[in-house]
Amino acid sequence: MPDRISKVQRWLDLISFLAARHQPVPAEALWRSVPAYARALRPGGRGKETLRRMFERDKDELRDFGVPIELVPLPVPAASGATHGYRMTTRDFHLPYLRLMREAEGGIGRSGLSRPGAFEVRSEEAAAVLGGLHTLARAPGFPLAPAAFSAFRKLSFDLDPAFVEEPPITQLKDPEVVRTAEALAVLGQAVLRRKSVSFDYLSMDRGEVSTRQVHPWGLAFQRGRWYLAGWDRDRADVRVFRLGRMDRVTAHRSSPGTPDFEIPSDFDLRRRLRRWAWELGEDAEVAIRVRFRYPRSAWAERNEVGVAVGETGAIEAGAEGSAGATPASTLREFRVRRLEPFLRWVVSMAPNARVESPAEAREAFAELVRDAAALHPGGA
Amino acid sequence: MSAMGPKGERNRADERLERLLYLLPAAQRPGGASLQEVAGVLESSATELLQDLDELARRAFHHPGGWVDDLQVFVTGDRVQVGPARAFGRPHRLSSRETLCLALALRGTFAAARLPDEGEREVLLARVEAHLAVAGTPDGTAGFRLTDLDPDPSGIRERLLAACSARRPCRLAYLKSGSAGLEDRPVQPWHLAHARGHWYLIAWCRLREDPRLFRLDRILEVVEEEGSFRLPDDFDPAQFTRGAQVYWTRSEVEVRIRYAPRIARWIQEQLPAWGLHGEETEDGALEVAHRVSDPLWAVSHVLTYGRDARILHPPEVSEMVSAALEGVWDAAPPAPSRLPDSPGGA
Repeated sequence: MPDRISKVQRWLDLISFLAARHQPVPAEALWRSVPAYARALRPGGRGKETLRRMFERDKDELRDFGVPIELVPLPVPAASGATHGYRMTTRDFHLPYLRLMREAEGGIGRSGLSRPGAFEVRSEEAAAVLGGLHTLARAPGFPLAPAAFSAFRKLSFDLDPAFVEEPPITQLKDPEVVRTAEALAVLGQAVLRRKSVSFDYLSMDRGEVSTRQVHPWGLAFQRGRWYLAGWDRDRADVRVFRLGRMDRVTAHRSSPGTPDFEIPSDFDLRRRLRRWAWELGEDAEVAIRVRFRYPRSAWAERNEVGVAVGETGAIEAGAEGSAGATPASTLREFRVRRLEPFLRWVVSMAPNARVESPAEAREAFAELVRDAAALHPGGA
Repeated sequence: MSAMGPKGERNRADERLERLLYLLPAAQRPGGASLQEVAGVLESSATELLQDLDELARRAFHHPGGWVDDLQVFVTGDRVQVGPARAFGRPHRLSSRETLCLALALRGTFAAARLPDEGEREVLLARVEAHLAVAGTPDGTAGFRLTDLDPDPSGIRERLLAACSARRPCRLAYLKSGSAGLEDRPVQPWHLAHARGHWYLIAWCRLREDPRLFRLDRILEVVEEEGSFRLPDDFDPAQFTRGAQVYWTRSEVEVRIRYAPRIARWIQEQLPAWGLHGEETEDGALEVAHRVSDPLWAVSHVLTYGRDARILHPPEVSEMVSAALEGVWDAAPPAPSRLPDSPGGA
């Protein structure tokens, strides 16, 4: 006979015991009944205080799992004097039956039976949920992928497998994401539980490594890589860190159930992320106008690059492949903190983009064009 | 469940319980469940599931007489049946993390493709949270943002997703690199791929009668057409990738680029993603040999680094850089590419 009762056996026994009860059960009665707890109460066992802590951890972990065990008032105080007991009904923890509305018309599903209390959903809603979870679960490095997968499994449980389509999407994993998988796992948990972290960070501008103590407020996946936004405790400011430049990422371990910090209510992770390199930094913004020539102008408009400022260049007749008048160019304005990366971005679209104003930016752009041309034969 | 710290008993118990809470309801359906099928869904193995069931059954050694459940497990070949086990008759409700994932999923591109109205998605999320999740699930979505999976403001990606799923042919207004105007491309949209923030359509181009890749930010319009097509039986998205890049061509050109010492460490950081190696020169510069399907990519790429990158070889591509820079101050539309259209890319 095996002597040890494993943790999963203890959890299964706890779930079985409470699911079979219609009334709440006082703690002592529960502990005497579930074998792993009863063992702790015997002479030579772990003792009541250790048992209480074990039970509290089990309750918290099962709740994280979607199995809620609640402490509620007893209808009548127990003989022991207890006024509260633990309850978990199957209605509280069983997933309602999911039914596509089409089923009522004899449509798809594992069973044609109508079930009371079923959660009805339209087929496009089910497709949005399942396809969305499938796509999310496969986002490269997503630290909550196991939870996304398990949500997918649960919500597709009642549906005909033929209904569940795999989205026509492939997401490629950057080598940096592969390399930082362990850091992502640590930071994912730290964000969820609001635990402080520390890591060594390489500043590319200075080429130096420094140790950072950070309250991790959020993780973002952008341009195929992961970034951490958080409060840098030494610099007393919000910073965004690229995971690929981190090393030795650790989370604060003490008091695991207690958050180390609160996140300000006005923190918006989306606003902290920058779409372009020239938006980074703390320098003052400068408004720079760029002229885009067709068809690059159409690309800029389609991708909401900059803001159109309404001035359009003269129509150019005879543009190749055009039928009649062709929009020639548009002027778009940008708010720029870092001039050099911005100018390089504009010149990468040569010959279909150039800086128009202000004069200083236009001159700097012209100088960049001259320098780049001098590196190549037939320079301007 | 927490995955913090070393993988010890707590994490194994998590995983085992998760598998059992899926397997037990499945095995209580009429006819039971296939171990291989369930193992596939759980990304486990039949052997591991049998070990899970063994651990479940061995509880009986510790149960007092009259224990609440008399769970019986029957395994015949690949089939497993369980009964009766009222507590484990259904999957359990969504946990807080699963609900958080659902919220993120409904804010993403695929959900937007199937349910375009954002308000409808929010209503659906609220209904699921109210009826399918454990009560009192806090909103943790603020801590996670997957901008690469955000819906496309133009709606083009979502329309292509719908067209791929429905196997519906389309016409694209496409801005090919170096073209003087938009191209009208009739396609059969096969699949979408994402790499490093860029989305690509893998499609059969009816004009070129060949597969092609189209970068989505260059697709300015999508018009769906009547009819449907069949996806080739041997279609495999992996054929259109090269390491971490979306890539496909029938011919390619080697372009050798020198990056100045000033930017060498940024280039070193990029090399794994490009699947390339660099050669460091004596003065600290980095030389990299790129294999590209379209030389115009190399022109745009080297200009991205301004005065810190130079085409070493072939001279034709260096001349293309020069011509592009000369054309910056022209009023006239740009000349077409000097090299013949490469059969690769779009």
